[in-house]
Amino acid sequence: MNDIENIQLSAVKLEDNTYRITTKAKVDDLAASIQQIGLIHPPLIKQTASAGYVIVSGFRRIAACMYLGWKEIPTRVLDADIDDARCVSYAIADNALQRPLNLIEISRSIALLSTVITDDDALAETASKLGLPADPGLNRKIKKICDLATPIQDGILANTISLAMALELAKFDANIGVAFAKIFAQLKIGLNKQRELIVLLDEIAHRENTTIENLLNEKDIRQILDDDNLDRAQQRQRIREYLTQRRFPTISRTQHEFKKQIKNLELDHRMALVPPKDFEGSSYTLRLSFSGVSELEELQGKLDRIIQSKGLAKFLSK
Amino acid sequence: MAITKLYIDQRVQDFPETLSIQSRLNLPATVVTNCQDVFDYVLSSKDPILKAKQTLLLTCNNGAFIKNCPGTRCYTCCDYKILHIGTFCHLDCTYCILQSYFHPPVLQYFVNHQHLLAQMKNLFAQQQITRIGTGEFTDSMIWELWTDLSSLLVPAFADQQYATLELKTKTTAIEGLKSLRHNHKTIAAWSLNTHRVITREEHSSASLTARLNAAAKCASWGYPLAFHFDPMVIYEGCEKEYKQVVQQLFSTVDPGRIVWISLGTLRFMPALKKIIQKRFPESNIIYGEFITGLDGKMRYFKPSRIELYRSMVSRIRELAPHVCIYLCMEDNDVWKESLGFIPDDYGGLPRMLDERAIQHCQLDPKGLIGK
Repeated sequence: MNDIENIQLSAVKLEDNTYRITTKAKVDDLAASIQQIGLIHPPLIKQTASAGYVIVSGFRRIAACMYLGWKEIPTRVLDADIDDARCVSYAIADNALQRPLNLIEISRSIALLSTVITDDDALAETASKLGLPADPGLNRKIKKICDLATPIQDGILANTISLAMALELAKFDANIGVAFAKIFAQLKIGLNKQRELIVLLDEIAHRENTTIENLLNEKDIRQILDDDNLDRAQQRQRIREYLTQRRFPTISRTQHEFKKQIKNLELDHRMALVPPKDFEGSSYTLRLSFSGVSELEELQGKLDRIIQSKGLAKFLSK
Repeated sequence: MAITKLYIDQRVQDFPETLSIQSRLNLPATVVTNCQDVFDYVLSSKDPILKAKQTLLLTCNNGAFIKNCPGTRCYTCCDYKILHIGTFCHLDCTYCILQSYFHPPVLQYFVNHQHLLAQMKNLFAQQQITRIGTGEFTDSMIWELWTDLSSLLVPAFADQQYATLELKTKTTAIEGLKSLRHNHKTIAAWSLNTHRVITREEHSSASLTARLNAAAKCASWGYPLAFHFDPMVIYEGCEKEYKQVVQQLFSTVDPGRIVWISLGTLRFMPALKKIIQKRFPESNIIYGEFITGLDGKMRYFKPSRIELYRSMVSRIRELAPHVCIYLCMEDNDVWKESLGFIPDDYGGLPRMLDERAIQHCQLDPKGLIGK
């Protein structure tokens, strides 16, 4: 590698993000540090065949120096004819070997590596040496992440979207993936609930011959999501109830009718009437809690009222 | 769907049936000493299930040719027996349970017919009323294109008085049955569905009209008939369309020829859902209101099933009051609500069906003794 060389910052092609690994855009903290103790570790740049330089590593350092108003910056300059694979390795190593990378940065690293190594196993071997995952299968998955829309990547960085969910969102059109990412961020729901939401919407879309996008734009759903009077937990509950009722209308109606019957029975707090799961079996369960014969006798009267209930008899005979 | 690849198990390569099938298929064959080679070939495909439908393996059945139908105690079972002549099917029904039943699924045909005939002989020797069919692990009639199966089975059943063979199909491959001596011991049976379900979900199968015309032909050749409305699919307007199928059935076929009609709504192992989503993304069949049944299979919500059954039973009884209707894998509640009785009122479902078989297939009632 060449010696340190001062170059004009105006000659650096800041818009070229070919080798960018970092996801961190803010530089004020780094600028403050540089201002106080100077630039300890010069960025690595590469001379281009035309004129000027592209950044290989040190994107934030260069941005911070610009922020501080520097005109020149000390750098290590790579020749224009350097092997691209070397540049890729420098870019990844300079990040991955100095600090833990987040998932997007790992994805960018693997995507970058895959531009110079096409074989999955060879890529995994090199990745491992650079501090990246060594599993070819995992790398194939992770590689896709950095191509996802920004709100999904933001969700990953904010820990509201896991790798598994990001890969599921990648299967949808970009705008649907983004819509889900925004809902997940808003409702702060875990992976299982995220999956449930996606499955419900997907299956409703199939049943009703519409699209998830149309559903997400519907008034009823927007009203729940946009209602400022509801807190996050209430929104989560309402949206789940709404979608479940819409996905399973007959089942929901039956459950509602059963609840109504139970309410009409005005059951004592020591009694519970439980239907068979999904109303599939034949046996209903009646639970009585009592501590003595006199209490049981007291409940007997209430039990008689249940037996005589015409509404319940009608419901059970359906 | 055409067979494009033929494998022959080395053990059966000189069997007459093997040579005959190979000649009719007119395909070069790959002889294998280990059937795992065939499974590997199928599994190496992007769509192993599709590949399995195009790949035929001629081999031996090393186990039982006669098996009990895999019912469950949670629902009323008809005590049917399976004549295990082969596996899988080249029709491509979206909902086909065989897609997730075999691992991997492979279109296999068993050519060790000496063993098959020996086991059938043992069955007949028991002198007990038996209802047995080839249409559980495969479609009964797809094999007619390349094999002499019906000409082997139908006369064999014709020569005894205790067992009836049911050939259940969604095809019209019946010409081979025409000249066979059946002695009423073989029931020609069709799976029926609405035009919508047939066109959207039962790919490569015959149309409803073609199935019913084939049934009428079989009736004209003296065969008893059976029909299975299974799987019935619940969708908006389905009741009206299923009733139209009933109407068309009795416009084409004399109810007096019908041994039984079964009704069963769609049910499937949970694992099948992903397979259908992947293989048939355009199909909406899995997005009904399903719950997990007592046997772990997905099935429609009970009140919805009852509603459809009631409607069908009512229409069938209007047009054919004496036809035996039974429900496939339902509990007493559903029977009572849909048909107005439970099987135990008539000695149980197996008994009900045995008596129909005795009546229509001219079986010896002595075969009920000891059952």
